[in-house]
Amino acid sequence: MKKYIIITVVAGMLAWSFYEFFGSSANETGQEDAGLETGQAAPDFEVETLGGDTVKLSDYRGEPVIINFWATWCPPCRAEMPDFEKLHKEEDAVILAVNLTHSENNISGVSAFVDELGLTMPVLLDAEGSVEDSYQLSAYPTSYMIDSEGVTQYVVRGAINYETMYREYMALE
Amino acid sequence: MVITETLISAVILAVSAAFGSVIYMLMNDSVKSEKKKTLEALMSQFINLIIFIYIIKIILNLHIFLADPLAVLAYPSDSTVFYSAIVLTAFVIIYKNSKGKLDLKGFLDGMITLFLTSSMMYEFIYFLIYSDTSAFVYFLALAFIFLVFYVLYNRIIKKNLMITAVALWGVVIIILSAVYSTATVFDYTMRPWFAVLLAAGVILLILSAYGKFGEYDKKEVGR
Repeated sequence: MKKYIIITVVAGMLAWSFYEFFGSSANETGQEDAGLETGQAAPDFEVETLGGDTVKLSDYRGEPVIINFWATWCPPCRAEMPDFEKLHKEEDAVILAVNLTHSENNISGVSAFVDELGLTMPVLLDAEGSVEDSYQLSAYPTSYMIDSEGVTQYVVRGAINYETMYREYMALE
Repeated sequence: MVITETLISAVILAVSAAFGSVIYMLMNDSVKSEKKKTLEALMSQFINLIIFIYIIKIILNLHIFLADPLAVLAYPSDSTVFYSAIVLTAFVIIYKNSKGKLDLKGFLDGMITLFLTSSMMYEFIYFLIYSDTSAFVYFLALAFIFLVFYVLYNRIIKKNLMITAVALWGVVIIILSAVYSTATVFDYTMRPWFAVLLAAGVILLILSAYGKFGEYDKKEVGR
């Protein structure tokens, strides 16, 4: 009896996974509607960078992009920032580090943090919180990995280490 | 409550461990008290592993930890920390065995059963949540190894069965690393060199527990 229970459970898991794998592959049509789920086009936005330039997400169509929402008061955000910088430098990854500026005490604190870590990736300023609202953030940090078609392929709420960001970024390419 | 990836990962791990324990209890023919004892020994080593992960993470980032402890504790540990914690846990297992405080045969049997079944469930849930192709392929490979392990359980010498399962797992990790450029075990990157080292270490433990030349224990081949 025990033997059949175990075989049935494993067979059930195999059947379910096959159904999910081949069923979802058949349904993949490259959804273009904007949304926050994986498989949907990431909502576009336009904000200023710390350097004073204007950046628009849709300008990066044609290459994979990582959007990382962060703030200086958030310990896991601070912890993962050097790894994003490493990915940016070593793999030439496009990383848009969107600072939740409206939640910061002042912008000089953001500048000091960027200088302290020697960040060279673009630091975007969400001064009004409009980008945070459109992405309905519920955890800090949150990162969106977007493919060259502008479609979100991976969303991670909470910090990730270099190995995970590298693995997921490579999967975009 | 905010559902972060860390929390999701912890829940998947707990469900997987529970699944592995149930399968072990169903599979193993030992008396219930012995199986419970083995599960407790496995749980104890699992807790050791988690503690080692935190300690090593803090030691490796001591200068950051002193300035910003939350930043270190909130950050997910990487494979270096995981490998180091595994090596330390292995030393604890060897030490306990040398002091006669651990039934190594039963422990290894339970460990391999639990590892295969828990990993299988982990990758299955991970695939369902993230639609990750490499998780799907790894799940299929683990299901294959487990079915081979299960069908031959109590039919061939336990030592040979365990060595076969561990060697197959090592080969799967090497193939997955070659095909997908990276393989993961419980979401930790498993590099081929460490998979080989780990498999070799476990095989050595199996050999030391059962005897190098494989004394044929007829009681083990009863089904």
